[in-house]
Amino acid sequence: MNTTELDPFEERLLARLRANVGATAKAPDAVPSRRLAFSPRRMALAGVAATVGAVVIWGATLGSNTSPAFAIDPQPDGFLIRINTFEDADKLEAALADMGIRADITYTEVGYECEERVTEGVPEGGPEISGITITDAERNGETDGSHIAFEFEVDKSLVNSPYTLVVETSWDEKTATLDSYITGGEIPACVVTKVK
Amino acid sequence: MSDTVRDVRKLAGDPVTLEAFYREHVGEVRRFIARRTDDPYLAADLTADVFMTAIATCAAYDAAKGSEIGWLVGICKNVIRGDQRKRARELRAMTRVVGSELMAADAIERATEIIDSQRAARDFSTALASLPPREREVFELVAVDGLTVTEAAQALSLKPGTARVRLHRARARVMATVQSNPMMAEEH
Repeated sequence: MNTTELDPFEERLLARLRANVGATAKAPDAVPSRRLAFSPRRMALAGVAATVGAVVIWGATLGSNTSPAFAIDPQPDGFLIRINTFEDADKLEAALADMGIRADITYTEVGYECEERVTEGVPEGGPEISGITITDAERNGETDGSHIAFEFEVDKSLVNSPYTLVVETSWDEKTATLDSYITGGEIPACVVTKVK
Repeated sequence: MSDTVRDVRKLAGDPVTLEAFYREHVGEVRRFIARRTDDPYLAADLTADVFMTAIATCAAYDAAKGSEIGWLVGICKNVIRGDQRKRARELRAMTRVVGSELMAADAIERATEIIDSQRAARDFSTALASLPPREREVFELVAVDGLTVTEAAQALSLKPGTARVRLHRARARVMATVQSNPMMAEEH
């Protein structure tokens, strides 16, 4: 792969990107507190990365003033789950249980996460999670683009299955991560630890 | 793929790391996009969106979970699918990096060349429309885009085993289609 020669478009794009990174690199001085790092103005910097089973938002605005905390929308192949805020974990578990879905939802405090939990996993062909992304959160039934939400789909085959949907958070002043996976067997309790 | 060791999580704050990363991957990103659109201006916007999203989300990169190109292709797919386009437009508004605005006359010819060179792959992808979506996306990344199964799994947020099963099923369906169609069988 040629790693040095760029055409005129690529050169111009690189110059713009470098200029933006140079400006961004100075940004931390302007964000002295954790609270500011989650302010609505930072939302414009949010993005998503499709890491395995996780959605990560950098400089996220995810927290108060959004309602409801979650939504579950039936789809032809399963359910679309949207998490607007890291609140009401027990209510989300109960709502999923009403639909026949076992769930273990853990929202840690800012700066904390669960230690890695060893679980059995799901055999090939078992229920899966897909479409992990972020979207605009609803506030009183509408979206105004000021807040973001996590969203993913679970297969219909998860209903009344022996498997459990596990959702857990990990977030600090810059990054909010939502890990979600489906696994079998007993789910060890979350042992909260500081984000490394 | 490169053996270069660098900290991709520094993309957002280190122009040197960004440039090395960009120089290594921009060609593959443009070809990946050219296999999915024949509009040079849209391709330019998408290319800019992919790298802006990579910069904005570099904190999420974990080298232990896969390669740079696997991670970047995952971003490409999200951007092309439109999931990230609204977010990318917000980034554009903030940073004023709009790919199509950088497409001066001297760049159009080169962009068209890249798009033309990927025409066969676009036609092939269209021919795969009968595959179930989950099998098709794995098959495309491996057979059309040249990713390894592990890289395709990373790009699609799948376990490698799951990707292998889907690829195997897709291959079986494609072979069955070819064998059941005398004209296609002759061509292959």
